[in-house]
Amino acid sequence: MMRRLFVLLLDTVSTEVWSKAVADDARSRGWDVIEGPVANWPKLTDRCVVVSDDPDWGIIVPPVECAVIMMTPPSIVDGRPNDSEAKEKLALASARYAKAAAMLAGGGVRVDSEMTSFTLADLGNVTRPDYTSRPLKRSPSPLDYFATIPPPVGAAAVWPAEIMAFPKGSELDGGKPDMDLTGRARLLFHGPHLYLTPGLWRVTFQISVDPEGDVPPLRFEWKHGEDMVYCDAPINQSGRYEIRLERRWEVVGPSQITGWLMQAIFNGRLELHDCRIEKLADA
Amino acid sequence: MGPVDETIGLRVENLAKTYHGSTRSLFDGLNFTVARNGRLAILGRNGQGKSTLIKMLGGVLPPTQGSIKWKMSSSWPIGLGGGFQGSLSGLDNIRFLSRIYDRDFRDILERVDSFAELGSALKNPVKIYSSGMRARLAFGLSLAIEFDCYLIDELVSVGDARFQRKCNEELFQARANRAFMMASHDVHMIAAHCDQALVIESGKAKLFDDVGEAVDIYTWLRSS
Repeated sequence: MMRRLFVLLLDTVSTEVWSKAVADDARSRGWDVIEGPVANWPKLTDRCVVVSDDPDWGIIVPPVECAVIMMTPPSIVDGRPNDSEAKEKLALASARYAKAAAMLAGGGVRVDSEMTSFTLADLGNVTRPDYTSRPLKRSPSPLDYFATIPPPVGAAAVWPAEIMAFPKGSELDGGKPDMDLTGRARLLFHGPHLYLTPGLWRVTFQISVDPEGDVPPLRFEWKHGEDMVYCDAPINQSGRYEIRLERRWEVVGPSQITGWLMQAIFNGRLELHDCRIEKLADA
Repeated sequence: MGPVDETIGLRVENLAKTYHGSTRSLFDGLNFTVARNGRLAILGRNGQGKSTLIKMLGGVLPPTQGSIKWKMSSSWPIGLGGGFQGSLSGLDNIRFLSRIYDRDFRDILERVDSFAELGSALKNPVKIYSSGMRARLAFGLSLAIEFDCYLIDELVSVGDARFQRKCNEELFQARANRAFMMASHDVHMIAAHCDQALVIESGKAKLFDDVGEAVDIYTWLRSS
């Protein structure tokens, strides 16, 4: 009987141990084992276990063959990444969690890091060896909305301003959340490109604006690709303002908040503060 | 004390200007440098202080605060206003300036006449010249004396197309290695010839290395 199992590895302290245990067990039963990123996968055989942390495989694998999730709470991911590598790592982690949520919603098996064994259909019982765990870093994470997978209504997280990208000159990042608005019409900030699961999501964020006598014509968008909701905010008084946008995600996908200056302007300052996202309703 | 940057031809520090009796500064805290071959556009709506800044740089008006340090020779402010002794003829003004700048009168006269094409009108008092004639005389004289830096206040917008073409040829091509500071509303010319732009608006002045960006802002300011 043809059977394939796909094991998605999440960021967990026991990933390595579980990965090896599943692979060893599969080999001992005569299954082929395929590991690594999707691009390196050979042609899949009839009886194989695929063990990977590349979230792209969730798109190309038939859901019926999806399998196992290994997870710990996402709070092990650093809370305030502020360099491009850390931001990319965070976005990749969010993609894994979002794909994991889709797999679990489709009947995938969930394996928590505390478990010592679990049973896979056809493959049988898999037991991991003991390992020395390192303490989890329990700090707020931008991925806290994945504390329960799939994220239930009410799932929320704070996205620190630093995880956004702030264009500087011709570069798409490198600026800071506190910025001089002087200049041509342009993109002020964008990001964080973290994945959300299907459902209605709200983003709430605050900005401090000092128009310095001008009226900066600002626009804020909450979007997935080109599909967006937005609000225009021509601000003529100094102060702290709250922007709240709601958008329904129909499929798993990266989310983006963008801030635009719609016209060239001579004066003005803007500071972006942390964003809060919250799931308001299921799909 | 740090090393002297020999490429800098003008250093403006903390410059401010408030006219006597006015409560509002035209600008303050203005800082910028201009390289020896720098080309600075000065942009701003009418009344924001472009001409005042040009006059201050040319030594015609004193700053209220701050300093202007030249490391290169600069022209007088060339613009519609002229800067001549009106009762004297064009010829006498040329003679006067030739002495001041220690140049040969005949040589200067030949070069001015070639450029300005004023002919016998040079014998008339400058006060009866049209604004275009005064501008041609002023520009011709400044070109003949050969400065390191030209201070221009909308000069090349006057006169016919032929005169404007001559201005462009003499300034932007024949003197491509010189510096200039140009106050102008002509954003196309500024975008084509300047490498920095200073925008003055409501008492503030900001310097832009991206001239296109400055033009965008100035265009927005003019339309708002």
